[in-house]
Amino acid sequence: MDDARTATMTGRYIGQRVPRKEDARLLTGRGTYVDDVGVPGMLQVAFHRSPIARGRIKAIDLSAARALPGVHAVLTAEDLAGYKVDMLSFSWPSRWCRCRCWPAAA
Amino acid sequence: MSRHDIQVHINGRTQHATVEGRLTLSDFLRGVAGCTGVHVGCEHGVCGACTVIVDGAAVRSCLMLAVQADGTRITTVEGLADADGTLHPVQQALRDEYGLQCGFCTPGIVMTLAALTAGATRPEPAQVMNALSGHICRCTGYQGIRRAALRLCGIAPSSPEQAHG
Repeated sequence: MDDARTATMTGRYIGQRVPRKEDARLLTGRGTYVDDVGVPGMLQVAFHRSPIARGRIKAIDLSAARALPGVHAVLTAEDLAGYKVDMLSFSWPSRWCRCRCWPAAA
Repeated sequence: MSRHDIQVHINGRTQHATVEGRLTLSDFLRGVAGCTGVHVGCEHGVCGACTVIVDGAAVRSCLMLAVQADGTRITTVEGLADADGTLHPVQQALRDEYGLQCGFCTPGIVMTLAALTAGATRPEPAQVMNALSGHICRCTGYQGIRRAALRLCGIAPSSPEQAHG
């Protein structure tokens, strides 16, 4: 890096408070977070979790959920068996674990 | 399933809608009125991200039903800046003091500070800090938020070096 360019960068950035380019839209509610995205035909998803803290699943009756108007799909872990679901597998028993284990990021 | 006709003034615009009784104000503002600047973080009144101003008071819109807002005047973060883009003093203070990182918690903080500083008298620092305790920032950018809040109280911000810690 030549001396002139070093001097310019030093003057503009190093040791300086640089205004953030994204702040104006984030401060005025014009950011686009994942939940803000809307596309035509987009479906909503809802997760149903076990009402008890620990138990053994013997059967899941999905007929009532599937009969509701507007429901496109009701999925359980069985439906995901054919897919590679790395993100969910870090806490699964090792015999089901098809991937390296990922620690939680935060 | 109950249906209710409501009329709400949002950022100076009148919005008519028929809503279910169970619809929260936050979901109404985001999904029906299109104010996606209203951020829903925890959905149970803890994180403060969904804060809006209803008839002059800062409220958590996830803890209020849309039907309860019938006939009120609501300001969301989209309604604070001037039409020419000039930021509201609260927004400008947060920008000047680097009081945001990812910006998700920011709309709620902006609305709380805007409600506190709307009166003729400047709020006391302790009052503002107490109000800010109702907002969670997971970027942990609290020092910048704190500097911006103190500036709004009329206290000149210290340099970033001095303010750390």
